[in-house]
Amino acid sequence: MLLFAIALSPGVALVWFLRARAQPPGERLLLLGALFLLGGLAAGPALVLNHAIEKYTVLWPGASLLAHRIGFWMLGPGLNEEVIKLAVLLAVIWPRRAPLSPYQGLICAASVAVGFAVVENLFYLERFGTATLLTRSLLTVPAHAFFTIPLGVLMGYARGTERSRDKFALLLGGLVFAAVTHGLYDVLLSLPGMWVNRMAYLQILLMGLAILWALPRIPQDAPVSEAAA
Amino acid sequence: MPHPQHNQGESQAREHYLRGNRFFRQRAWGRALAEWRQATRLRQPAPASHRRRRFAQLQAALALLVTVLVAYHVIYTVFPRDPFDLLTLRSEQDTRGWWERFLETGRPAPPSSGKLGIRDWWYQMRERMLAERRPERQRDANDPRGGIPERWADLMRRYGRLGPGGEWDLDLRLVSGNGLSRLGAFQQAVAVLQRGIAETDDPLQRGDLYTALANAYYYQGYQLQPDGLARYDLEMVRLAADAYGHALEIVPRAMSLGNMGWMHYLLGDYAAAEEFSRRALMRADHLEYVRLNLGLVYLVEGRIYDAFEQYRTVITRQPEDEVYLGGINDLRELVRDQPGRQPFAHFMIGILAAAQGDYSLAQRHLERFLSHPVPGQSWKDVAREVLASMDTKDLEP
Repeated sequence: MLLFAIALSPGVALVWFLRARAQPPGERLLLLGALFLLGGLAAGPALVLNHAIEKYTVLWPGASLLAHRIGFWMLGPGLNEEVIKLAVLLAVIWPRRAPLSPYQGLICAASVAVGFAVVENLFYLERFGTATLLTRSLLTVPAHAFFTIPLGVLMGYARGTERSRDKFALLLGGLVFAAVTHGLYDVLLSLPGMWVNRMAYLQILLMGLAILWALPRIPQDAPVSEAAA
Repeated sequence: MPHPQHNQGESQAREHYLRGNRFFRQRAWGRALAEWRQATRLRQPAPASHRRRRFAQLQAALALLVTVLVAYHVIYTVFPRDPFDLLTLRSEQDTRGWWERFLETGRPAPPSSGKLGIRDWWYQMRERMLAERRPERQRDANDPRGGIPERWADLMRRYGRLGPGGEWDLDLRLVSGNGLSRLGAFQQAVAVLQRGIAETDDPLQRGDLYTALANAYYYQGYQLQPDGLARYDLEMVRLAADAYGHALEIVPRAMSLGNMGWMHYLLGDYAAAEEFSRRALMRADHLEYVRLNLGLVYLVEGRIYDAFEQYRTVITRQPEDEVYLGGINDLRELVRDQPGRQPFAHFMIGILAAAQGDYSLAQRHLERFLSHPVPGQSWKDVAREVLASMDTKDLEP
């Protein structure tokens, strides 16, 4: 139970922090809980997609060519996991009648990402023990959220636009950004060399700072702007 | 002309919206939100613009879906895996379900990736579920004797080994079976291992027991001759193959795959021998003895160039002497069992012996190869080159 709490708490704290900064208070807890659960469930299909890339293409983490290894991390976990998170958001948030502000998109995306990361962490706990769980909870849970948050923000902007091509461009831009940053993080962690690995931590730190800087600048006038459009 | 009811709803919505704004300015977030929600509920957007907006949303989502599908199509088309690799994963003898076969990539787990895949998750969950179904006495962590036969527990207690915090993950039947095999007491080893298989619920433990059982059968049928070559009791080889088959259903280890390939070679099923050897090499490319077996299989099938490639690969890696000796002895057994029908076996012995530094053996076999009528002059040219490259002074008695 304690370990479950350790796996859960950083993610919950992050979403709570983001929700608390919302003015007016952000999304309903029930919706966020549902997104969190769906994000956790989405970890399964994401792993199947990763496995399919490893099995049916030359891209896999033990490939002799560096390009193939990098390709695996970018197009495997990087793309697949973000596609699956986007699919959850598209299934739940996108068709909703209620308006969606960029900041609401941010909180929803963070909930999905954190649910995904927490379930992943629980499996790592089983295999690698508590020390790994603690490290992953502090690093990987925020990392997943930081990759997906820009996607959620852009989804909020996309909902506010009129033309379908603008919506499409914003959604695609969000997905590409999330997949590239996620893939880059995995590549840095997979390459040999302590300093290269540390660059991954630096990447997460920089992304976290960038998101902190952007938080007050992300529009929050959620229900009104779209409803009045 | 707008509908009058629509106008009324619109004005009420506007009132709530403005009231919400006032609350927002007074930092009464909850009340502001409630007003805005009410405004959203009351406001009935013009049907046409509402439909247009919903349609644009649907269009964008569909376009994104198509784009993602195209991206995946491009990935699988631009970076396809060698179809032969996938072919070797399919086997008529494979009785596993589709999901287990899907999980099998034929690739070893990279040592340093640190990323768990679906295969790891699946085995982890299966182990956990089986552990939960295990009888209570075997799971009781407070009882250090859990799962240990009473007689062993008595012995342990007598010698002071049974204390708190003892580790009882050790499979005593596996240890006993392997020990008895080493001592040459194969029948006893088989009996112990079979009993262990019947009594264990743990799939991984059962896999290890099956592997040990296969080894016991194989060595029971292995008869070393005075000339240093071996003869095999094929009935024992068949039993060993069955046991390896069971072990592979549980855990497809590279060494078990390689051994299974060797069993099939001895039984004369060369297609299966090739398939298992290739699967083993895909998982562990460094298993030179498996590569030598594969070369032997190709040789028997008449695929001389493929066989040569395997032997050449082993030579370029400069393995230990034991590896060369194993390969040479297998080839000598082939020459013994099929006299006069495998001239290329002499050629392969020659190149292996030359690489190992046993020039007299190399010379003897290369000359025997040259004396045979074989199709294609180029192989003989290679043999002559190898002969010429050897330092003939070392061959003087």
